[in-house]
Amino acid sequence: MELEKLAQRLGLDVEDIRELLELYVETTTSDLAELKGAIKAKDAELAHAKAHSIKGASGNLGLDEIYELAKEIDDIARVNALDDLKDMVQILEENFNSLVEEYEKES
Amino acid sequence: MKILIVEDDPVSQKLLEKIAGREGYEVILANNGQSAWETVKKERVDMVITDWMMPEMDGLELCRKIRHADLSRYVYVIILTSKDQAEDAVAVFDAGADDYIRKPFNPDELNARIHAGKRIIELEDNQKKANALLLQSEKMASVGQLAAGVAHEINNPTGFVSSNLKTLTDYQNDLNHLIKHYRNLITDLKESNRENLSSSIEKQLEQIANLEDEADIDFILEDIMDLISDCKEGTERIKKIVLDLKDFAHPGEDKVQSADINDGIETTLNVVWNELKYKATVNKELGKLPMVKCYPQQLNQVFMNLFVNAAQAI
Repeated sequence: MELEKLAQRLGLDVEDIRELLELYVETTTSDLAELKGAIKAKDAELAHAKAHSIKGASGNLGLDEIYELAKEIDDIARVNALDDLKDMVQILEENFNSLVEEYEKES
Repeated sequence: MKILIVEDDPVSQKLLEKIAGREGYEVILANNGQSAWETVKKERVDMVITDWMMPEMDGLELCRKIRHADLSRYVYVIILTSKDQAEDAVAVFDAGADDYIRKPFNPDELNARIHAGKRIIELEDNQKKANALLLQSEKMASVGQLAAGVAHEINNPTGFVSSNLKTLTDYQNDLNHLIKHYRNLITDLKESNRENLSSSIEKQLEQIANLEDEADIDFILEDIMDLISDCKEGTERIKKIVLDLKDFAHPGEDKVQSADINDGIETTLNVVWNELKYKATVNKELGKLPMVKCYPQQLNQVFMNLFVNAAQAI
């Protein structure tokens, strides 16, 4: 992940992107934890809400891979098929963690 | 331009805030439809960019509320939607939104849509201003017409009063002349042959003297001309104010013409005299001015506003 590239894509300063990413990491970390909890508790509605939230934030920031994954999870959670989600959330989490690592390395 | 951004996801909210703020717009934030609605009622918001799916009150409901409210200005609404089926576009426009943009949004597209919205808001604004101006000038025109009509109605009776007063003066002069002769006759009668007068004539002469004393004819003869000249002055003043009112109003005749500014000031002073006379002493020091090409009626309106404002400030 290159901050400059992201900044250019959104028409913002690198400083702005840093601020946005910080907020993104914070909210997505808690959304992800809640998503996992919801799947464990078989709460499809909460799972859908949390996936939706991750999807929205990632999409708008242009974090395409996470966006696509969250979208898929969201679509599945909406039709109540929580059992299929564990693996996908696992992939999403790995993806997110590597993004966080990368971000922390850069700043 | 003030933009209200309504978004429950903090990351998207911050991103929208940064993108719109970067373009120099004033940005305020809300986390859901309900608190956005409170803000729209309280503050002068020009544009609302709102997420569709939100807790408490969603974007479409917010939009409907804005459209049904009796707000003093037009609020432009853009809905953010994560879906893209045709039915959703229909739902967005059915709710009264002006535009929508799909999430994830492209910042350039968002800016372009905000800009398009700004154009519409400006058009709405201009139209509102033009309407207000038109209404005002229509009102002024009808007041002018009314004034001109009233002026005409007053002019006619004033005309025959003033012409009768002239005739009355002539009559009175003739009568005065005649009375003078009568009086001479009486004096002569008394002085020349007082002894030869019959008792009946002497009695009549005495009666005449008594009548003159009782009615104070000397005073009447003097005062009658004063009264007539007062009446004449009164009708002159009526004529002048009516003429000034007509000059001032002149419905539908406002075009560029050479005018004497001093005349305009005098005319207008006359028209607003009623407003001024109990509040101020008016000292006129009007300089010599050349004829000026202008809209005299509108200039008079300016003078009138100045006079009335000044009087009301006292």
